[in-house]
Amino acid sequence: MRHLLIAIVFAALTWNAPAARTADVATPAAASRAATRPAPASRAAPQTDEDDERAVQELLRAGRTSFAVAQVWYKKDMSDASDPHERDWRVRRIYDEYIARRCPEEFPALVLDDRGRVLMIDDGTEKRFIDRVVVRDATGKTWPAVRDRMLLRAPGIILKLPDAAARVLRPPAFVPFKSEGVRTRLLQAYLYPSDDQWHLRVVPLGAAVRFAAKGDDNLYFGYRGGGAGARVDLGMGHRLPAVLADATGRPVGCALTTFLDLDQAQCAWRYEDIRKGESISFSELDKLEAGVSQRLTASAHEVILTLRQSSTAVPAEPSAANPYLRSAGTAAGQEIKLYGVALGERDLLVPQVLDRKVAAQVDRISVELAGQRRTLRFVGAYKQFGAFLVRLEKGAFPSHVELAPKGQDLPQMQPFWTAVLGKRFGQTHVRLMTNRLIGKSRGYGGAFHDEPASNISGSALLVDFQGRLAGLNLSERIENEEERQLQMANRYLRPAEFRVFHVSEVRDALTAPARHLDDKIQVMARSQSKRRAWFGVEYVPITPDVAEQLKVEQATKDGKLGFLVNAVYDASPAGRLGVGVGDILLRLQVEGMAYPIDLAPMRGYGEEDFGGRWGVGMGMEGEEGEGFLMPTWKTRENFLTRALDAAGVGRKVTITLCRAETNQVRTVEYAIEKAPPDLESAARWKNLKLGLTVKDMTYEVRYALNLPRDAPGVVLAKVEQGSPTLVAKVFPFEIITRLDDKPLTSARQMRDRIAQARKDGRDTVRLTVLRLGRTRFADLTIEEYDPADDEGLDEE
Amino acid sequence: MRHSAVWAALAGLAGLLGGCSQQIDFQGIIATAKGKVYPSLVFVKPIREMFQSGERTRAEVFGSGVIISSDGYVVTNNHVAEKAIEINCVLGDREQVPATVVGLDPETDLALLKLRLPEGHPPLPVASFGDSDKVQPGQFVMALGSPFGFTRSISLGIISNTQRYLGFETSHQYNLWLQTDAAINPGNSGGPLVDTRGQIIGINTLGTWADGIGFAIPSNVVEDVVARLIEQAGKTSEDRWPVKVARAHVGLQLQALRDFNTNTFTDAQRGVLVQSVDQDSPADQAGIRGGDILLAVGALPLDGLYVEDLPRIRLILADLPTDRPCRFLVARGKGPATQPSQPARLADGSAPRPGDVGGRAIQELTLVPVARGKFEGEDLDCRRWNMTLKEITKFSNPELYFLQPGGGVFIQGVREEGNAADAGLAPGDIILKIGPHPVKTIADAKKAYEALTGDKARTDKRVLVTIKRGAFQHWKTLSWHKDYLQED
Repeated sequence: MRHLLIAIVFAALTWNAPAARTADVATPAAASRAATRPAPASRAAPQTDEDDERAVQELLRAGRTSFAVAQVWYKKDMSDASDPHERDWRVRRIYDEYIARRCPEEFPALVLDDRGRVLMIDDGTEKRFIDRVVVRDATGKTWPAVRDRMLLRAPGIILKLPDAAARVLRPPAFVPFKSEGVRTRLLQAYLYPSDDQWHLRVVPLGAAVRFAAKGDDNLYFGYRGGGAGARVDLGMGHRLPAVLADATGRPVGCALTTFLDLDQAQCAWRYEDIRKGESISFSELDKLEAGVSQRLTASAHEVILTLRQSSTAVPAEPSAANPYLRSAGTAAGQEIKLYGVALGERDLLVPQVLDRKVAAQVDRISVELAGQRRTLRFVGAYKQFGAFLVRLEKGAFPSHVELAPKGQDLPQMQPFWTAVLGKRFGQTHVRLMTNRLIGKSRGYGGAFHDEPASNISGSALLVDFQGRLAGLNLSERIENEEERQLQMANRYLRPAEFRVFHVSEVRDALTAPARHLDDKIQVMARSQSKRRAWFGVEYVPITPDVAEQLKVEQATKDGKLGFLVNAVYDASPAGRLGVGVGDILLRLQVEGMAYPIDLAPMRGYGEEDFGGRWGVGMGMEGEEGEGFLMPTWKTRENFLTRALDAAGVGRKVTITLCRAETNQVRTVEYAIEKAPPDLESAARWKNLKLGLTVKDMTYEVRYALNLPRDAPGVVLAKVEQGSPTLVAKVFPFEIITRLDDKPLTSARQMRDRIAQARKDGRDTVRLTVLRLGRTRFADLTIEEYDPADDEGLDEE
Repeated sequence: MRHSAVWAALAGLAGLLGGCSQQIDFQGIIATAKGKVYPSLVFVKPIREMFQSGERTRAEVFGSGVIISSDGYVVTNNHVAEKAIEINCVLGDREQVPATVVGLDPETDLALLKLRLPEGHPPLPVASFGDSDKVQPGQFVMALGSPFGFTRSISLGIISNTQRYLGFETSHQYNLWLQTDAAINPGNSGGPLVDTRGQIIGINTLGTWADGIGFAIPSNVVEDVVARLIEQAGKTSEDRWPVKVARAHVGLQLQALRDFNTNTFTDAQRGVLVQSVDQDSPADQAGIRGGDILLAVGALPLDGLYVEDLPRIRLILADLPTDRPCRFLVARGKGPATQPSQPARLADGSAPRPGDVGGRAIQELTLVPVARGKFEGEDLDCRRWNMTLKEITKFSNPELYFLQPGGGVFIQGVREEGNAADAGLAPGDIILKIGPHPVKTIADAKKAYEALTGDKARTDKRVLVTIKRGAFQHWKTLSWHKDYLQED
């Protein structure tokens, strides 16, 4: 203890010096000026070391009876599955730290008056977990406590203790606070945990002012808001409330945030404000909550996105909070169920990111209304934030949420509910938690936005105590989110962050969405959804060794940058622009984008060896695997096509490239074009009875097989085990060039001719099969062909 | 174990036969038959230079052979004798004699050796060929040879099938196989398969991992190839041996009319289906198309109803005189057809009519076969780079030839631990350039290799190798600072 005192006295001494320098500045208005110019070295009414020591001693003495510790005992919420993978870390913490260990969470508490009212921090814990609250004083004596009221202007709640406690616990002897502007000196006394014990500490607080030429003159003490520092639930909460005292040690107020300003513009801390401040009783709050919950539940609906099957998985991209919505590859063929909230009779807002690739795979959007599945139309996904809008084609939603009125954004400190829409016990369930906005932090583009006291789940709604939608916690999209995601997959960028959007920010987007929607995110037909943008090259990433050999170290930054072109497709932009095999693509500058995209190998993707190689499956005669081929063409999904897709067709790009032999760097410019169909987007025909999926021949297949542009043929994309096709020993990735000796030009034509042959009563058709440059004949038995099994023909 | 089982079975068989009115001395028959061939059995010990796994290695390998002339011609397998830099043969009387490779035929996997007998050596015991066309399934046969180097071994079995078609993609196009359950193991290669009369009915060539399934080249094919090699050798000075079998190239891939493997059945009773025609080949130039049915060449009918008929037809085509026009009778469903003024009468007395070929029109086309080029390309050991290169030929590497029309050089093998493997080079890659040197032939590759690795003054032991992998060009930096083959 003695040690501590010495430290405090020392702190007080050091605290004196800056105050002395600004002593001649009488008004807060001058503070910012004072902060930026040297002050004269005069002193007014110096406080002595003895004064300081006395003040600290006084605070420590009084603190022993005015502070207490509130012990909150949690219980397992029986309506909760207590899933060990619970994603809400607060719930998880309650289970792991307190319920499982059978010990209470402890909070400092401050005696407010002599009627047994005690103040503690409002950390937003849901009441369903609270079993009981007990207050213990410095002597170890405990009293049962009741959660009585919630403060509306400061993040505190008031506990009520029995009368017996009131006789023992004494409130600090508060005196009115007298501001002395920049000469204001404050001491702070608080409980803090160390060695698993509570300690009482006193520290001086220095005054500060925001550093800006025309900054506000609102002097503040402590840590001003800004991200996690302002949150009460990140450790700091265990030091609050604190008693604030003037320089002589007389208590003048109590702090419920780490930040206090003299104007009390952003927080309330004077004793009277806290004691008499606006509050709401918990029983009243429960009533409000029940009503709001009911209305929200009626407005919340589960939206079902049915995704198409996909034969090729799109590589999953790193996810933010939404693992499945950003990984179309794994989600293919699934139903994604998401909750949305009705904004009007027909519009439903789904507060989730829907990226371009997933949207393109959506086959159907539906919602269950009164036990019936109704189709929803995709209106669009927002440019600015991660949410999308769907519209009911027929009928109306039974209920919808109201937006908070104009000019009534949630003020700092005032509690509201965050509503997480979900399902519980097979029913729509809205989980409501109280929270407050405290402080600000800087986000995308340097803009400041409000920070919540407690972490808010992604996609939660912010609902005021009147039950109106006052904001949304959404991931912030940048102007070109696709490009960001692309860069993110490649290198160093962080995923989009969630932040609070006040309803005033999004009102226009919600009520008149047209201007706010991202036209790149579209729900579209299968064949369209798989079409890519192209430049028309294949490439291998350069390596340091190869760069050295080609003497292009400078252009390729020692071989860390650059795609060596190893094929140029006919009739492609690259072909027209004179790009050739051996050119090295270095950078891609998209018009309007701040930085060029470096063309460098993607982390974790060995793009070099994807496809493009002859290979025949091993296996013994008659066994599975015999005769199987590896595709010899490359998949057109690569970093470059992804980048161009992200930039969007029609956008101007400049590609910087260098020619290996001459080491000359040049640029080519073109407006991004949509590629002709490749094997993934090619028209297809599948028939399970025949056991085959064939696709139209595409440019990359022709290239890999040395086939001229007009050579007939369809590509056998898949062959089912044990099917007539496999019995005829026809294997995937072979080309069927002719049927009954007539050239085949499309998958549909093949189907039509087989259907006709069947109609004519024939049992087989003769296929001419091309493999490794040689053809052979195979009779395909079509006896089992049934047009009813045809798939894929209606995807145009 | 296996042999004892066979003997037990034979003992039982002998007992059974003993019950017959006319007693057969099975053991005696076997002994006599063995006695006719056993003295001419040769243990062939070539020292071979192999290009495997990216290195040239020399090793003594074991094979078998049989003496077919008293002056010392020995028949063995191509895969025993090829790439031999030296061959020693141990004869029946345990005399070791060096041998010269007279001729090699990789396409039938046969080789002809000549023993270099010392002056005044007495004539050698000779085994004679039987008629493999008369061999019947179920007949007893013996395989003689040196399995795993165990010299002068005999195994006994029966002929399991006389018409086995094995469907190799590139090699073994000209013969069917005798399938036997007489044990054939590594080292048996090149040894004789002998019938109970003591005549060679086949040359044991392929074993399998399975018990009781081995394959021999029928003796009639062997006799034919040997005769051609001897004839060719007679016309060639010894320093230019080994000679090869001259064959014609027409550029046709054939498919049987009744293909049970793929269940593909063509509506014709005569002829053989043209599966594909190599680009720019004589057949291509003659206007033969995939889907045509070849009925005859000259007056020789080409009936390929089943896959087993294909080797015979290929042989007919390979035997066509080169650089002289041949008349092909071709049936085709569509297109302008010139019906011959009167049906051609074939050697077998028949005259194919459209009714025999599903109503297709029959026409004559003239084709000029050319001499077939070499089957297998030259090898090059890039020892310091730990890889072996090989020339692409359209016969043994059709798929690489297709990617690189006109041929080139490809990587045949890459040592598992070596410079080529470190560079990311892989078997099947086609070499386009080594450093600044374009590579079109094995000689180009050799020149580049020697220039680079032979330059002792060179400090930067690295070179950029431009390859084609599939249809795509790649660049690999090959470094040979490290010598993987150097001893500690």
